[in-house]
Amino acid sequence: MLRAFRSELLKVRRTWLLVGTFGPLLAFSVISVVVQFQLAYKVGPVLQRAGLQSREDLALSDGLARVLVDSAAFGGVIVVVLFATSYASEYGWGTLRNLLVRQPDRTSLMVGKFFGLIDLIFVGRFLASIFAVIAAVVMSKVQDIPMNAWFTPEGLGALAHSLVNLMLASIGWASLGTLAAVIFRSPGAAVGSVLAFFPVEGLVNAWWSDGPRWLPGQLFDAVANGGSAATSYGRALALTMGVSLLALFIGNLIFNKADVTA
Amino acid sequence: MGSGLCQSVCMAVLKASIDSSSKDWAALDNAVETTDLTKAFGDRVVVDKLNIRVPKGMVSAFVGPNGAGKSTTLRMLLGLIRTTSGSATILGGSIDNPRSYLPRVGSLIEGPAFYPGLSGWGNLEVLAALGSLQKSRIPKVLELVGLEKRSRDRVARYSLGMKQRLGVAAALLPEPDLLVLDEPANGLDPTGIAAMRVLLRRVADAGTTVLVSSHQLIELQQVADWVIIINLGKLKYQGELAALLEETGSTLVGVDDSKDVDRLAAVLRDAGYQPVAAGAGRLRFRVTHGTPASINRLASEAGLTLTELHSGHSSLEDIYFEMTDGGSIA
Repeated sequence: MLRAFRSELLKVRRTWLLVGTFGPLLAFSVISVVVQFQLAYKVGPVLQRAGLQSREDLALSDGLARVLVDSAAFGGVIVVVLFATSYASEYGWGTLRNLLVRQPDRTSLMVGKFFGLIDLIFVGRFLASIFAVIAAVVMSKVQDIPMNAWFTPEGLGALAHSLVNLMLASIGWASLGTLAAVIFRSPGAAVGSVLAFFPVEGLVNAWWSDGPRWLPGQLFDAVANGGSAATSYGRALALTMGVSLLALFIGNLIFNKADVTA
Repeated sequence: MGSGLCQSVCMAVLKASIDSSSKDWAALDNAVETTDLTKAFGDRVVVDKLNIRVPKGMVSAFVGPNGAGKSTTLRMLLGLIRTTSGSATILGGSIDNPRSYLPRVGSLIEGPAFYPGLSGWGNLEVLAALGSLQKSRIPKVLELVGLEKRSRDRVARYSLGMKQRLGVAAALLPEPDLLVLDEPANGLDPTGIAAMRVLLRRVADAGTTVLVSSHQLIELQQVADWVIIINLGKLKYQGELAALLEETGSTLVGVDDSKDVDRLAAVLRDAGYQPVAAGAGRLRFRVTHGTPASINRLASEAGLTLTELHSGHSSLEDIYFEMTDGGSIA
């Protein structure tokens, strides 16, 4: 597994992969922070319920943490697409057969690759957070929102906790992307399926009142937000890890059983 | 060539040679040995109870028409697809446990496959890391295939021939005991093909067993020691290539009038020769005894004037066509 992990780290140096992963993560973070601060003075109780932050919210000690979590809203899409593309491309390019000859233990290969890619995501999330914090500091000055409370021990603790939560939620999205890739074995089909997942889950969530407690995407978001109205943080985290392990277990079964004809 | 008569007689000859050479197999140490190896995709049997031997230290040519089951067989040997039934031993390890032998195998299957965004060197680094191979092998194999000057270029900028050479370099990376190559000469120019032939010979002479599947039969004939011919998933022939070519030696004779071909065939048959193909005033038969002069004499005594008389061996290409129904797609 360590060999597969090290090998994956060499692969993620590809320029398009770095640009395609970090670019959107950083861009969405900064844009989201700017929009949040621009809208803050308009946010009343109705928009607060919709998840937007008011000026008063932003000035709280966890204001920066809230900004960070909201700025990472698109992160799940990026993670799931990255994993679906990366695994499925091994089939598409035919590189999987090279990898399996050098590492016939398919479970090791799959898990090593997973950890290699999740490392990339963690680095991307960390960099995006730094950019988000810088953007937030600049925007707080522009919008004249006090930020003294952000850099207190309490504020920094909330920020660190949010960053960890974002990374934990990424594991859930990553496992779904991996499963889609192993099932569809084609980058186009895998990405199409994971992108279709979002509106489909949205529809199910609208129809099923218990959706926020059980649907994977809702649980991952609950983890990222440190809990939600529908579920506690601990429950969301436990179910997210359960869903991730189940997805990887099923993916591994398929990966081990399926012939590599590509 | 390829007539029913030719096929039936050739098959009889080849069957005899399979039987005779089977005595030699036992004495050979095999790098690969399959027993009733079978692969079916649903109801379609692609490889059908295949029993092949790849002797150690030789270059073995694995030939057959498209869809004959060559790539499927190679994929099974490399653990990429599972067998439906049967067994195989590769470098002493069971096909059911590819981990036991794959570290000593290098392969290039169905064309080169690399990450286009990485350089040639970078792609080899990935494989070296995955296989716990010495990085110091990378410049050596790149030099072997003549890619050392372009190794830092992205693979996306490589021509097909360069990718093919990189594929061979990747296969050589682990210093394999067994090298499995599927169409290694694809996309290579004539110089590259000749260089590939030299490389395969050199690798085999250094003790590596080479199993090469290719449609470049003329090239294979120059480099292979052993030949395995399959069609429709079944073994048609395996044995030493030189012996096969020797055994399928034939003489071509031609007469003025195409109607005389039947008379000439009867005369030769009476003299104990075996015609293997006929048509358009020409007759090909197997040489088992006598000389071209004695054949000429027989024809003359029968009042037939020969306009052509050539003796020689069949090529691997001739034999391939005869054994695979003209090389038609399965």
